[in-house]
Amino acid sequence: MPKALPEIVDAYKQEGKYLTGKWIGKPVKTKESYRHIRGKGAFADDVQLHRMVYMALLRSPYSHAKILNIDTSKAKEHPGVLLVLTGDDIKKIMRRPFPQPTTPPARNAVDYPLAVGKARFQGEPVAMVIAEDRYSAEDALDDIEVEYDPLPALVDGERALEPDAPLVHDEVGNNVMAHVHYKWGDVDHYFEVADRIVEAKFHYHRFSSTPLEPNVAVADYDERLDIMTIYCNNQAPMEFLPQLAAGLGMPFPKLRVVTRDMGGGFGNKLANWPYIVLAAMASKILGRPVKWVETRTEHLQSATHGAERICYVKAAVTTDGEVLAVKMRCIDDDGAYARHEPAGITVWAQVVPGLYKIKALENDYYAVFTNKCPAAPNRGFSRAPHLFMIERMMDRIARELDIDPVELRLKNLVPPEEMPYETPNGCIYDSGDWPEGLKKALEAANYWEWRERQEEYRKQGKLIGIGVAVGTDSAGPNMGQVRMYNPRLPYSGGTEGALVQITPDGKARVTLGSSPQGVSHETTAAQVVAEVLEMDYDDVYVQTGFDSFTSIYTMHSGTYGSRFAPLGIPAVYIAAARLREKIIKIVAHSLGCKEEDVVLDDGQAYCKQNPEKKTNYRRIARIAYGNIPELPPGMEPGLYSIAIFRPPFTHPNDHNMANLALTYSFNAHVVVLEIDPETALPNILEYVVVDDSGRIINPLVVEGQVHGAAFLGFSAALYEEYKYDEDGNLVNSSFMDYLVPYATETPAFKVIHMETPSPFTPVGAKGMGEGGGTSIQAVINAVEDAVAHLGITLEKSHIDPDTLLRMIREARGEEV
Amino acid sequence: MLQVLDGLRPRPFEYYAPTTIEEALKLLEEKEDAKLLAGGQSLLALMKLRIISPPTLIDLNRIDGLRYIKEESDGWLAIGAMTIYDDVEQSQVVRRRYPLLWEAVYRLGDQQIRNRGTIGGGLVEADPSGNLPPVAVALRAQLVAMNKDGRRIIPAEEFFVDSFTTALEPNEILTEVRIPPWPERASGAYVKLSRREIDYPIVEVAVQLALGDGDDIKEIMVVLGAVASTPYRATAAEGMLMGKSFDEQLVAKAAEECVKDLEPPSDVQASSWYRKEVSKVIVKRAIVKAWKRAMEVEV
Amino acid sequence: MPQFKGSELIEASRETVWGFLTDPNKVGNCAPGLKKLDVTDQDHFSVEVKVGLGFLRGTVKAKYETLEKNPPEKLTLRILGSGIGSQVDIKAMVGLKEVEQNKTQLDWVADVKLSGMLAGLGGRYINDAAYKNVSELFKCTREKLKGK
Repeated sequence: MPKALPEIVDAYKQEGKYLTGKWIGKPVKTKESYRHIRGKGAFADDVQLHRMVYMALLRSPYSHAKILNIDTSKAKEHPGVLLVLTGDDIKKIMRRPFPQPTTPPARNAVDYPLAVGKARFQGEPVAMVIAEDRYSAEDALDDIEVEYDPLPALVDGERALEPDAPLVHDEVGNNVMAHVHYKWGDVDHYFEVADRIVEAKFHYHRFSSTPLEPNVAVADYDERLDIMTIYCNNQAPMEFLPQLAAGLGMPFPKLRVVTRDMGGGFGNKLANWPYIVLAAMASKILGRPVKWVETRTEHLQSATHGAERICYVKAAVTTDGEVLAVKMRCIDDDGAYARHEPAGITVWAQVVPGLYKIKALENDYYAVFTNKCPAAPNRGFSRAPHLFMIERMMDRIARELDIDPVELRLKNLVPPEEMPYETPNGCIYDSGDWPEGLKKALEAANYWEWRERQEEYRKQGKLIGIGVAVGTDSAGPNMGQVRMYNPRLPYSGGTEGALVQITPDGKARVTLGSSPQGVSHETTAAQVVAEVLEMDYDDVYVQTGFDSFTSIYTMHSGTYGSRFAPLGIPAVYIAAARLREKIIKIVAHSLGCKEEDVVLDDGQAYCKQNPEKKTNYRRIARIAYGNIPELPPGMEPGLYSIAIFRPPFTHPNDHNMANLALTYSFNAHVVVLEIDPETALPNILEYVVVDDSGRIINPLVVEGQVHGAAFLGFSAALYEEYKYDEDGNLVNSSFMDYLVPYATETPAFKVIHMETPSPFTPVGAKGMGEGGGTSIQAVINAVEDAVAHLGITLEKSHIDPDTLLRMIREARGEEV
Repeated sequence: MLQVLDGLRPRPFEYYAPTTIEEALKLLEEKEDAKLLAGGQSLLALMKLRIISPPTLIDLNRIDGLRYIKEESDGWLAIGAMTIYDDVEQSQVVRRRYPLLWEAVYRLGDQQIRNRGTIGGGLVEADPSGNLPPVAVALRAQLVAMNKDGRRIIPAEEFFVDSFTTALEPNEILTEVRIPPWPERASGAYVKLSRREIDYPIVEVAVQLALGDGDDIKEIMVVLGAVASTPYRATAAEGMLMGKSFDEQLVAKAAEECVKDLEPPSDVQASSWYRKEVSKVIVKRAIVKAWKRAMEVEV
Repeated sequence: MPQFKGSELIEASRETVWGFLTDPNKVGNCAPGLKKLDVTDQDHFSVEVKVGLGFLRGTVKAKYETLEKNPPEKLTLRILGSGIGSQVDIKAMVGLKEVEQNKTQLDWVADVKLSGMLAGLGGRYINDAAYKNVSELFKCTREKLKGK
C-alpha cells in the first residue's frame, strides 16, 4: 500500500506554535509522586463517609449452574445486616437488563449484575448483603443457602462453535457473541502468485495486568438534593454513565461520578460498572452511603480478564522473503458476558498488517461466549494479540525460508520514506523510522555476536535463545471501529476535553476528561500548560482524577487505548493556546503595544519595546475577573478556556475501512535468554528496548511506561496465566498461584529512546505505554529460538517450565 | 507464608496474649481447638480466607525469652521458637556453622515474611513444602516441646507426622530448636526450585555432610521437601555416597536412585512428573554444593 | 481434580460388608470427622463433618446418596459437600470381592470435583486432604468390621 494521499495527511496535520522546549521534554518531578511516596494517595477506598455501610457479594462456586433456590432468611437476621438482595430482586428493581452492544441473536443474552436463573462463570455474584460493617456483611454470606444444579461447563473457545457445545446463554441459541468477515486487498491473487504458503496456529492466552488496587465503589445517595455521587476507580466513567442513568432513572446532571488516585487500571477497570450499579441501587434503597471493595481473589476470579485468542494463520510469501498477504481465522474467547467485548473483534484492525508492507489480509473472525470470567481490555487491548500473531508468524516464515528473522523484518518493515503510510484497511501510520529503530536495538543487544555464539553454546549443551520483535502502540482510537461488528452502535470518532483556567491569583487550574490510573496526567498536562502559558510548572494545578460535575468530557472520555498523549494532551494544548491568545490581548491593551510585540516569560509579560515595564499573571487575572473596565473593549471577562480535540476520524465504510487510530509509536525488543536444559527454567541475559513515542513530554514518565509494558509482556509470557480446569474452576485465584514476578525475577531493561514527532498532534507526542505487547512476542520468539533446533515450535503466548521440559524431552526422543 | 491474600476477613475468634509460657500452656489446656499465633504468616492468611476458623488464638508474641540464638558450651546451637527468620538470616554463627539453614531462611518468602515469620511457626505448621522441615531433619535437629508438666525432646525426623501434622500433643508448645554440633569438616546446602524466588518450592533439597580425612564422605543426610507429605529422606542416595570420594557422576547416579520411589503430588505449579524430574537435578546440585563447601572449594 | 483409588482387605463376609455400606446408620458413622448424622432414608443421609488435614480443618455439610446398587458386588456413592466457601462432589465406586471366606477386598475409585474457594488454591492442600478423607471412610469400615 502506498504513502497516504496528501489530502488525507493535510486533514490530520497539527502544528504546535507555542513550543519552546522550556518544560516539554524535561524530566521534572512528577506531581503525583510526592503524595504516593509518602503513602498519602487519595484512593476510592480512602473515602470515608458518615453512616457508611458495606456491601459483600456471594459468588457462584460453579462456572455454570442453574440456581434452583436462594434462601436468604437466615442472612437477613444476621446482626448488622440491613439488606439482602438476590438476582430476582435486582431484576424487579432494574426492570430491564443491561443493554447489549451486540447484534441479534447475541443481543438476546440477559445480563444483570447479580445472576438471574443461572450462573455463567465461577465467581459471578448471585446475592448481595449490605451491613453496618464489612465483617457482618461477609459473615452473613455464610448464612445464605443456594441450591445449584451444576451444568456442563464450556471452557474452550473453539469448542464453543461446535453445534453440540453447552450453551452459555440459552436465549442466544448458540455461543457466538459476534462475527465479522474482513477482507482487504486482493488476498486470493497474492495467494495464487506466492512462492510459498506458510501456515501456523497460535494461541494468545488468558491473563490480565492485576492492578494493585482492586475495584472499588462508594455510592452516596443524597436524598435532600436527589443527587447520587459515585466514588469509583472506573477508567472511563462516561462509558457507563448512560447505563447507570437508565438503571437508576436519574438524569446526568444528578449523577456525579468521581475518580481519584488509582492503583493501576490497564483496561481491567473499564467494566466494573455492574458493581457500581449494585452499590448505587443499595444506597438509594437504604439512603446511606454504600462501600464495596473487591478482594484479590474476587478480582482474579471475576473482575475482567484479557480475552483469549486462537488464530489459524496462513501467509503468502516469496522465496526471497517478501510477505505478500495473510489469511486468518480467529476466535476470541470473551467469557460469559459482553460487558466491553466483543470490541476486541474490531480493535485489532488498528494494526492489520503489523509494521509491515503486507498488501492484503483476510480474517474470518468470531467472538464467543464461554463459562469464564468476562473479558475486557488489558494493556495492549486486541492489538497486542494481533501483533503476536504477526510477529510469531514472521519468525515462522524466516525459519521456513532459512532467512534470519531480523533480515526478514528489515525487508518487510514500512520504510520511513513511505510515511505517513496507508494500510490496506485505511489506517494511517503517521511517522517513524522503523528499520533504523530495529537496527539500533540489535546493535545495543549485540545481536549478531549472540547469533554467532549461539552455535557454540549449543555444542556445550546450553540452550540460548534470541528473540526479536517489533511493535507499535496504535493510540487515540477512533471509536467508530466498533461499528464494524454492530453498525448501529452510537459511537464513533475519538475526542477528549480539557479545561484550563487562570485563577484570580494568577495560577493555573486544569481539569481533564481522562481518569488517570497512575500514568502521570497531572504532570504531563502541567508541563504542557506551563510551556504554552510560559509559567512555572509549580503554579499549574491539575485536578486529580475525573469528576463529572467539573471535568470537561465527551462520551469518549477516559483513560484507555493510550489516548491521553494523542487526544488529551492536544485538548490541553489547545485550551492553553486559546488562553494564551486572550492573555496577550489583555497585555497588549494594558501595556499599550501590539499583540505581536507582547512577550510572555516565566509568569510575567512585557512589550518587546519596553522590557522594564512588566506585568504578571496575577495582575492580568485581577483585571480579567474583577477590574473589568481595564479589559479590551468587548472582551468577555474571566480566563477560562475549554477545548475538545477532534481528529477528522470518519465511520468505517462498507468495506470496513477507516483510519482507526491517530498515532503509531514504535518499539523494538531484543531478548537473549537461557533455558536450563535440566529444569527448563528461563533466565534473561539481555533485554533491550528501543522506543519511539514521538515527542517526549517527560522522559521519566515515558521510561516508566516502557518498563511497565516490557515487564507486563515478559511476565505474561513466562509467569502469568489464568488456568481453568475442565469444570471452569479458576485454579489459580490468589497471588500465591497466579504468578506475578517480583524484582527478583525481572531483568534490567535497557531502554533507548528515539523521538520522531507525530505530525498529527500539536505537541508531536504519540500514545504509548501499552507497548503493543511486543515483549510477549519477543520473549516467546526467544524461547522458541532456544529450542527450535530440537524441532520444537510454540503455539501459545505463555510457556511454563513443566511444559517446556516435557517438550524438550519428547523432542530428544525420551519417554515422558 | 501465603502471600497477599488480602481483603477477606476472618470469622470471629477470641484472642489472648499471655506474657508467660505457663499462662500460654494453661490457656492451651482450657480453650478447645485454640491455635497458637507466632508470626502469623500462614495462620492469619488461612483465617482470612476462612479456610480455617479457630475459635481462639493465643498470641505468643508477648512472651519474653523465646527469641534467641545461643551457642552452648557443648557445641549445640539453641534457637528459641519465636526467633524470626530475619534473625537467623543475619546470624553469623548460623551462616558459618549451618549454611543450609541460612540458605533455607534466606530463600523463604520475602523480607516482610522474614521479618514476622518464626522458626517455631515454620516447623509446627509442617507444611509439606515449607523450607524448614527438611533442613531440621538434615541437621538432625531436636525440637523441644513443653506442656504444663514439663518438657520433652522430639527428634526432627519423628516430628513431622503427616501434611500439616506434627508429633506435638494438643497441649504442647514448641519452645526451642536444638542443632547438634557437626564435625569440623562438615557443611551443607539448601537448594530450592521455584518459579519465582518468593514461591513455595516445587522441589527443595537439604543436604548436610561431613568428610573423613580426605574428600570422602563420613556422614551424610539428604532430605527432600515438597515431594511427599513429610520430609523425604533419600537413604538410598546417602548409602551410595558413604565413604566415597568426590565424584560428580556418582552424585548424579545417587540422585537418580533417590527419586526412583518418589510419587510427588501435582498442583497448579508443577505436575508430579516435573517434580520428579527436577528432583534429580536439585538433589544432584545440592549434594555437589554441600560437598564442595565441605572441601572448602566453594562457599 | 485427579481420580483417587484405594483398597481395603476386610475381615468379614461380602454380605456383611455390603450390609454395612448400605446401612446409613452404620456407614454414616464412618464419615471422617463426624459431628452430626441425619438419616433421611435407606439411600440418603446427611452429615456435618470436620474434615481436612492436620490443623487445616473446616466444617463441611455433606449429603450422601446411594446411586447404584448391584448387591453384593458394586455400589456407587455420591457425596455432595459444601463448606469452607467451596462445593465438593464425590462419586465413589465401590467394588467388593470375596477373596476367601470372611475376607472381602474392597476396591474404591473416587472422582472428586471441587469448586469454589478451595478449587482456587491450585491443588495445594487439597489433593492430599481429599484422598485421605475419602480413604478414611473405607478404613473405618474395615476397622468396624474387624472380626465380624
